[in-house]
Amino acid sequence: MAGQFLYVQNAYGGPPPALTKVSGHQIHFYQQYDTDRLDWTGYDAVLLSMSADQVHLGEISGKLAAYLDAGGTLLINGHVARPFLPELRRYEPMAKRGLNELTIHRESAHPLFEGISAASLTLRKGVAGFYGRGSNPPPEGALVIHSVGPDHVAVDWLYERPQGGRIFVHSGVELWAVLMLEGPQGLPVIQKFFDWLAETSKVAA
Amino acid sequence: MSASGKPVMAIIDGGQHYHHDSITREPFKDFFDHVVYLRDVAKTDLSAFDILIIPCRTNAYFLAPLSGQLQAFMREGGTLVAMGETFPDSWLPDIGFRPMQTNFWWWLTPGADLGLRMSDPGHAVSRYLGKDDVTFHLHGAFEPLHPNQKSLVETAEGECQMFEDVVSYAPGRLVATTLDPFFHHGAFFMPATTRMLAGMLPWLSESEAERKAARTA
Repeated sequence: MAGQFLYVQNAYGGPPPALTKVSGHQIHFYQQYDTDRLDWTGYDAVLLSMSADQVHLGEISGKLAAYLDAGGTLLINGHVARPFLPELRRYEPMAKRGLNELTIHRESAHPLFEGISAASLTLRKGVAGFYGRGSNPPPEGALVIHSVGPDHVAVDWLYERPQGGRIFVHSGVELWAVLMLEGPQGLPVIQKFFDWLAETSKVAA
Repeated sequence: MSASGKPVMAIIDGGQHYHHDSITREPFKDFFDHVVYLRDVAKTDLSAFDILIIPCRTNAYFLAPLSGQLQAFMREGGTLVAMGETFPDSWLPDIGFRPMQTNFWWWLTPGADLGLRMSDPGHAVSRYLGKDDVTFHLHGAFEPLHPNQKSLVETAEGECQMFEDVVSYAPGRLVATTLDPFFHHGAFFMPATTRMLAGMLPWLSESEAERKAARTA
């Protein structure tokens, strides 16, 4: 099923290269300040970059909430520095940085990450720490998919809002960038992400 | 300048989390006397500041409309600092830039050396920053370098990674770097980037105080 996505970019230059290789779906790339006058209602998911201007997101939080209320999916990359939705709290970095502290744990199996192990997310090119080094604390009732470190703080979580819509949060570097660090084998994982988001979308086609 | 004689340091906040966390958390929060949100720059009187820092990855598309204001700030004596991935070649004249493929992995090779070094050991900046503080990875080089742009950090091949220009906008100055420590430090990643800021911010402040003193002497 072909999906339609909005990528909210806040950077000079072209879109993230990996996203231009996703097939079977349409991804519209817009600079962030141009998205507040767009109609979001047809998008299966709206993707926020780790470089998003969170001041601006706070200013348009009503638009974000209305999109979610209508059944949309918001995918948030990066650290929450200024909580721009009631479901979000400020990022909490971890104090320690040894390998043990940076180990990624799979807390719940999820189709989004079928075929990629938590161990391979822990080590990218043999180096730990790229995937997550702290947590955007999830709201109660969120499904934690990945956590990090001995305290198992949430890195990836999915929250189905009681009032409609869902929020997927990756508390780290832009997901597609970190999945591509190993090379082209990251692409099928990213493709599956978009396939799943389209298949399970509650946004009317 | 503040009553204490300490230069007034301002920094732009582009709304990115790594800006907010670099600016508002320890250990650097006390360096910044003023924080100006990117979309408020146009309506801000910059003449109250001695130094204005544009932190790494501030969206260059929204710096371009501010070019005249930023150049005027320097011509009135201010120091403008353009950090990595702000692409000043796209919003200031006479800056050459050649992008490079970022090599994130060079340090995995035993004994490898990215080759970054201070260009001029005799320059004051070399008392604040050393090779280990600027070595993390490359995004590009300032090329060709304008004769007014004095290289402060370079690769082994002499490719400029940071320059100071005290001539083009005299009495003000322009400092630009391709290195992006605010991004990595603010994302709680790469200790070298924290060290770079720990050296660079005092250098900017203390060299600005000296420049002001020399001008009013």
